[in-house]
Amino acid sequence: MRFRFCGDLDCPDWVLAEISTLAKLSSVKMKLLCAQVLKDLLDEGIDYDKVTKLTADAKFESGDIKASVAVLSFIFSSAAKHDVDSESLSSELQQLGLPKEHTTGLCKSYEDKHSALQDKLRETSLRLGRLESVSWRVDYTLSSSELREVNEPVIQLKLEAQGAESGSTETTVVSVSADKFRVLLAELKQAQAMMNALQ
Amino acid sequence: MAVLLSRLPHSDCLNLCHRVVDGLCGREPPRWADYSSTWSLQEWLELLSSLTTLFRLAVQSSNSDEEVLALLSDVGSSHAKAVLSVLRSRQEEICHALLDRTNSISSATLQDFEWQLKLALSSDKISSLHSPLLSLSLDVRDNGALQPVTMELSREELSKLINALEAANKVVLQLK
Amino acid sequence: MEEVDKILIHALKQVGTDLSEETDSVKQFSSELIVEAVVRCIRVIDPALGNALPTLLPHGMSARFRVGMSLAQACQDIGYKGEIGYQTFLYSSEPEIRSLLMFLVEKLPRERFEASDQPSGKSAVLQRAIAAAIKAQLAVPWLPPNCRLPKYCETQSLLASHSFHVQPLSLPHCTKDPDKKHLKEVKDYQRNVLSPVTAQLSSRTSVVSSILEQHTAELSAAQEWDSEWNSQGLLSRLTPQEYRSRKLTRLRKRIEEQLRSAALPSAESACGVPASASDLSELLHAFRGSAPSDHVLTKSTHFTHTQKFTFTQEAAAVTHSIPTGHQLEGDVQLRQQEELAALQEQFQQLCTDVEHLSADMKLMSVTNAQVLDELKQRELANVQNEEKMQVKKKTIDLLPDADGNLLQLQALVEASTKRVVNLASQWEKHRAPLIDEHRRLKEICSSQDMESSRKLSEIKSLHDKIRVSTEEAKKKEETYKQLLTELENLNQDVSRSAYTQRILEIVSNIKKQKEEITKILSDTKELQKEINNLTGKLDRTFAVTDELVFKDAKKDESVRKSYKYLAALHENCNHLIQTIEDTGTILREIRDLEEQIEAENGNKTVANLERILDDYKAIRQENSALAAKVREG
Repeated sequence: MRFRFCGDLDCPDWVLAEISTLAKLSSVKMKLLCAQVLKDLLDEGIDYDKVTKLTADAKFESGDIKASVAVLSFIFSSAAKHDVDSESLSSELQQLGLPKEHTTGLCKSYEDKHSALQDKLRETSLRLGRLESVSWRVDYTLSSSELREVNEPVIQLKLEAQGAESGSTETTVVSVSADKFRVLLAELKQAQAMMNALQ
Repeated sequence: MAVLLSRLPHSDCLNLCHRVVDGLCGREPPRWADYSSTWSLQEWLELLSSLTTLFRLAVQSSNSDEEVLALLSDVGSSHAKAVLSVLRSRQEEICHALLDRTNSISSATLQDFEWQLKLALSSDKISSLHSPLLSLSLDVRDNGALQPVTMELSREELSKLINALEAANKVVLQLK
Repeated sequence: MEEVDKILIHALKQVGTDLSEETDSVKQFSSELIVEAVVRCIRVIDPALGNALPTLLPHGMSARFRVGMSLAQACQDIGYKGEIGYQTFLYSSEPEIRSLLMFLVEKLPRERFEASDQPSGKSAVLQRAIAAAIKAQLAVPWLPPNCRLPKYCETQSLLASHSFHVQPLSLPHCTKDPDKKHLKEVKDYQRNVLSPVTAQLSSRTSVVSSILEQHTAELSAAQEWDSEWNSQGLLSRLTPQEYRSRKLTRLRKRIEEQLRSAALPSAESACGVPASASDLSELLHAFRGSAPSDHVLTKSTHFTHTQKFTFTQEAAAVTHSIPTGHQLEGDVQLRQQEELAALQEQFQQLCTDVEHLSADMKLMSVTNAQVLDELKQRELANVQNEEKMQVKKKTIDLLPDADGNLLQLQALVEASTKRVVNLASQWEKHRAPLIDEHRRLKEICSSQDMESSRKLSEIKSLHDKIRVSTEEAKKKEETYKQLLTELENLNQDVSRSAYTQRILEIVSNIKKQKEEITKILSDTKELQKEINNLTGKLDRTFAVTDELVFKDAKKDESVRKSYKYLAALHENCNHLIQTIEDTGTILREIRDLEEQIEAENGNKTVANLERILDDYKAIRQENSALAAKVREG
């Protein structure tokens, strides 16, 4: 069996197993649990006390709680990853044995947060360094020990970039001669034009 | 220097001086191996450094012909003229090299840069990403050592960078 | 059949079968062609299955047989229901091949055709190109690094081959200063010494990058200048050189002013740090010195003097730093060091002295200038006072003979007024034409001004137009390119509409035929009915006649005879009908048989049999050869 929300692959066994755990919850409670899990995925913070309260009725052990949160996280993130619409997700989950009311609740919450979830995933995708801020200063050199009459502008650039490996912000201060600066700007503009042509 | 330089015939002197200027401008300097029959290594080093200093100083303070010839008074007149002609013909290049040195006096300078436009198709987080990324790598020369700085810019970050550079460029344009 | 064959051949060509232009029917297919077509179709339908099959028939007979078997198996795997075996491929008959090919073409995935129907926007084109490129790269086998052709290095090696590294180049046209371009030394250098650009750098890899960067730098500089000139330079109505020099002087003035305002307070307050202040003012002097003005130059003599002093020192140090020999004796060195230290101390002392003195001198010169100024002012005041005194003296002289002097004065005044009137009239005479002239010139000037501003605006609008049209041209070119690619993609199913038309025609033909068939059927039915009617009537008439005649036959001998004739007649007629019916069935059978014969003829049975015989012989030969080999081995 292949499922679209698993990326056209078979559903992992543990998900299949934990779907039956989910079925033990009432559909209303499960919808509330979905909201908590979605909050977690969107980095808004999950309230574990609430989760425990929600699952208290079904007499869940701590292992079951973890498993149900994990399986919901998997379903949401995987479905958003493969851009599955809520109807297909609903039919596929029902095929996997989740009761109809549960599925409806889950898919409703998924549909609401679908684009937000995808934006989040897009944002957290692998990036090798980001530019955080640019500061500049233009100096005019009048004279120096190397050359008596210079009279040339020099551009000082400070780039704050998130490093590729460390993830911490690295500051680069660099002075650029006027010629180099012009070339840099021209090339970057060219790159921007190409980038804009991509869409 | 006078004695050393006069060991060389006039035409070779011209060539040597040009090679010395090449070295000053960041290209390949002359090699001792080519002149080992004329000078010992120590003499060679001396000659090289004094010639380089001469060219630098002459351009640095934009000396007139007479001043340069005065500096070269102990060299034979034909050789002095050769040196002077090299100086005059390469003045602009030397000036440019000195300008580069001026820029790198106090802070790290941008030596080279490269860019690469990529289209990210997919990632582990999302299967259809389709976002263009510009990876920009800067070779920064800091105290003689090359230090690579790389970053990946999204469309927004690139436009932010370009806007900042544009603003700087406006100021630079006024200063020209 | 022709239509079907055409469609089949078109589809096969799309799959990638190498069909020549002349083949336009399945009849012309050779065994090799059939095998290739079938394998290509299978590869598209099921790549895993098809990739195991060769597209070319092998040479050996037994191998051919095996290929035929596996092909037949593959076709059955895909779902072909008809009769199929190795003979289908090796000893082909037209209808069998046609039905097989029709089945395969129907099985071809539809996306291939639908894909070209999709709206092909720019991004879709790009995506397709990316997909194609990735597919092609995946198809390339991995090779160890040493065996790679340059073509694959790009995609298979992880490291970028060379980083972009720029070195300065010396190019003749880069000389910025136009005066220096024609200097003899420069020309000589460029002609005799300068090596070609590819030989100037030590590493070959940076040549291209250096040239590229140089070019970009110059291009962007030219563009910037162009835009600046168009936006501001043109309006200033100066030549480019004038514009540049004016901008430069303005900039210099600005910087100078700023520096001065920044330097002044520090010079006043900072007596403790005279060095920095004097440095800055020296710099200011030097900065001024670059501008061509004589009195500034004379002022900066102090600076140039010190400059020269230090430079000659350095130069001397350079030239004298050559040690004449290696005296390694310690005391000599010590002594020298002591001496050196003493001298340095002295030198520093002198330096500070000089500095103090120069500061003093500056102070003095400032006070001197102030005193001089004061002196001048005093002198001026003096002169004014003297003038006043003289006027007063004259008045006092004239006081004794007041009346006479008064009269004289009045006469003088009258004469002067007359002269003034005279002069005024003369002035008027001269003035009028001058004013006219002035007006005329002014008008000309203003008209020229208008003209030039009109032209300027024209130039500006022209520039704008040029820019707009270049942009438009670019855009149009891009759309043209995109349309071109779209056209290329569209080209494949030009015949689509033709096909649908043909299909519609065929359908209407079939409809007509069907109508005819139903007509014939109804005719036959009617005939059958009539026949049945007639036979019924006959039977009934016969029964009545039979009964009547039979009744009379008991009484009369002649009637009995006639009854016998009747029975015979009836029987004979029945025979006749039977025979006619038999003839009909036989005719039908004959027709069936003829059709069968034709079909068999189409199967090329005889030729195929001959080929089978030949192949059989070939197999036997191969077998015997193999057996001989085995025996030898």
